[in-house]
Amino acid sequence: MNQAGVNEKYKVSPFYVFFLVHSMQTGVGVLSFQRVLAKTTGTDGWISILLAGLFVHIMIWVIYKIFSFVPGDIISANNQAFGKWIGNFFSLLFVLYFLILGMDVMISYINIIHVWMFEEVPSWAFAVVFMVLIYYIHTGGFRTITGIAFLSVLFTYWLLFVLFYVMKYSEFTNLLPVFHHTLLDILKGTRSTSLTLLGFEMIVMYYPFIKNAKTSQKYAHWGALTTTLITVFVYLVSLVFYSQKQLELTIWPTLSMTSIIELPFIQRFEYINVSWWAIIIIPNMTIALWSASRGFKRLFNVQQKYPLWGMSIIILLTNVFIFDIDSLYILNKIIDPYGVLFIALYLPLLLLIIYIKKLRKRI
Amino acid sequence: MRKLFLVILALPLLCSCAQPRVVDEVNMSQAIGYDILKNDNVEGMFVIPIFQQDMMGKYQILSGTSTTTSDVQAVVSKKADKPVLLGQTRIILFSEKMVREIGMTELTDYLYREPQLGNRVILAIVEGKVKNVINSKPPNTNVNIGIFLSGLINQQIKTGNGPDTNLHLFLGNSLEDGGDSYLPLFKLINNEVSVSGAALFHENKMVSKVPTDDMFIFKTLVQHHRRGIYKFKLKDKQESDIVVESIRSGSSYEVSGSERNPSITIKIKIKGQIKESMRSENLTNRKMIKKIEKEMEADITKQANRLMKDFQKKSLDPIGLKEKYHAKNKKLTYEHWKKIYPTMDINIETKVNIIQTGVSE
Repeated sequence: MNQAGVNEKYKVSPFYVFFLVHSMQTGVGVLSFQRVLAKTTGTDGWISILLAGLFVHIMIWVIYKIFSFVPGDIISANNQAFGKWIGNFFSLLFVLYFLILGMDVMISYINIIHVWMFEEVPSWAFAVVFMVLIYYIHTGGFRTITGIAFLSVLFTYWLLFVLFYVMKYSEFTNLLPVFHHTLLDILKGTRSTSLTLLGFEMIVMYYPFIKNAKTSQKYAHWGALTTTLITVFVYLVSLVFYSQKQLELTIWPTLSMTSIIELPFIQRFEYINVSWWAIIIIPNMTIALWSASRGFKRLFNVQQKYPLWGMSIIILLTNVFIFDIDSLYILNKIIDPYGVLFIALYLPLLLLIIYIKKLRKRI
Repeated sequence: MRKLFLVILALPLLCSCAQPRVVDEVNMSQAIGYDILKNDNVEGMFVIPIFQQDMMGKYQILSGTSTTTSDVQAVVSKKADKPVLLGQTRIILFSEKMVREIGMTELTDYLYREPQLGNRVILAIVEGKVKNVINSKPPNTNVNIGIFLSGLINQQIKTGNGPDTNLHLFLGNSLEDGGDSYLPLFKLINNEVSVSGAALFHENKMVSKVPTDDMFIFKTLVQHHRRGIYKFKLKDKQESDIVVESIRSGSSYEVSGSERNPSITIKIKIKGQIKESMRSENLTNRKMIKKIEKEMEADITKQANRLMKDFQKKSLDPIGLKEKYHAKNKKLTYEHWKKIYPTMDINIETKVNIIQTGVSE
């Protein structure tokens, strides 16, 4: 009966949740979040990031709480809470949200390649490469996706050490003064970090794919904590590297920062950074589109590859007909605030309803 | 297997998408110079190396005139057989006249926007015409004038009295309120290019200079550094010259938080070795060393005071005292700073430590 039931051989160890959460969270957001954050909170931005991180932990707790009542994924949880029709409606919203998130990540990255490296290559060419790759990874099943997430973290963690090189140019007085923004500003800043920390919510789709899923909660928290700390670190380095006004001017501070690096064998390090970032982006797109197609499969009982084809066509057409900055503008508007609000309000609500239903049954 | 085959099949289709930029099929500019003409047009010059066998160090200079700095590139490309690209530019020169008239924000907008240019590009100001500097022959014929000039600045930063500079550092300072910053200055003396101090900027325009003699103190005020040379005269009958090479120097700032009479204490610390002493006295004698230390402290304090007074009079803040003051006083606004800075108490305390006297007595 339980459709969410997954054959034991397709499951992954709980330990890998760390990589799934962490690699999904770090993506294009970490390249560019500093600018908006610096505008609202300036030197106090790290407090906003920590607050946002705390919020992510609460949401992870909420997700695991939901599944402790209703084992399965978000679709079975929706059905249990709201019945078939309304539940499916919300599930569809989730599918849409995952699709938009995946699309947003891909188009943001294509935009970066356009600005930094190949302005003359059309967007759809990149989209084709990515879609073929994503499709290929998907055919390997969820275990392959987990493997990609794991490798992505493994292959890219060295980029953190690049920041130490950058710190050669740091001016530590830029960190001061602390606490000179109002609480409201800091909360506003929390919102602008959302794209950096989003991604943990994919757990609601791949939860049934985790062996002894309940034990994986601590790994999910560790993953989110790692992302938060890395984000804080990146922000602090950006603060000491740039002056306030310069940070507000720079669209991709993390990339511009690496253009100061000169190595004996390569003069312009940022090109390596931009290219290498593809490895960080791939699990982002893969997990998001996998979640979307998996949701679609569960809702309409079709083979998973058909919705994936459909989504590939949608993404390709978007890239053919809409210029990347224009589509990004719309996609970012959808994700922040609507996507974020949806996740932040809906999940606790779902927990509440499921909890109440459980209580009533017992009575 | 069939799927993998398809993927491989797709690769050659995608490889031809981007425009290749082969080194000897483009004009790779290594230095750019901008002069302002009488009718407010900009004359741009690109130093482009020629890659051919047995042509080591050969280069050509392409120039063009337009109304904006970025358009010059297109104008120049019109006259060349290959397109001019900026990816390898090391140094960008502006004439003094130009930066006194046009704000640096306008001039650097294009440079910062352009992803081809890195953050490490050096900006420099030329006293007189950029054209003459670019057209002068470097003493070392193996390199072109662009590489020569950027090498000159870089060695001055590493071992001389030139403070750290590049596009990133300059913009960091000049984008702040007030737009106070500094850039190295070049001057043509007897057909030889040489650094001649630092150009000071206020509200994005060049307003003043630091002469070469003050560069050691200026560098010490701006950053911590490891090398640098300071020459001074002992104040006794013989007035002999002493040359001290710094080993590790820098300054720290103490800001008083009081609203009523704001003050900043600058503590200059210099660890150095005697490079030359024009005096036959025994330097292994600690007493003499102590005397030299004392005299050097007094001299540096005097010179630094003069420099700071001058900055305050012109309300220049190339050292970034505003940020240091803001770090302690959260409510500081730029307007308030403009009011208090010229009359602010700036005390200078110098500590000189001579730790070596070389291998001879």
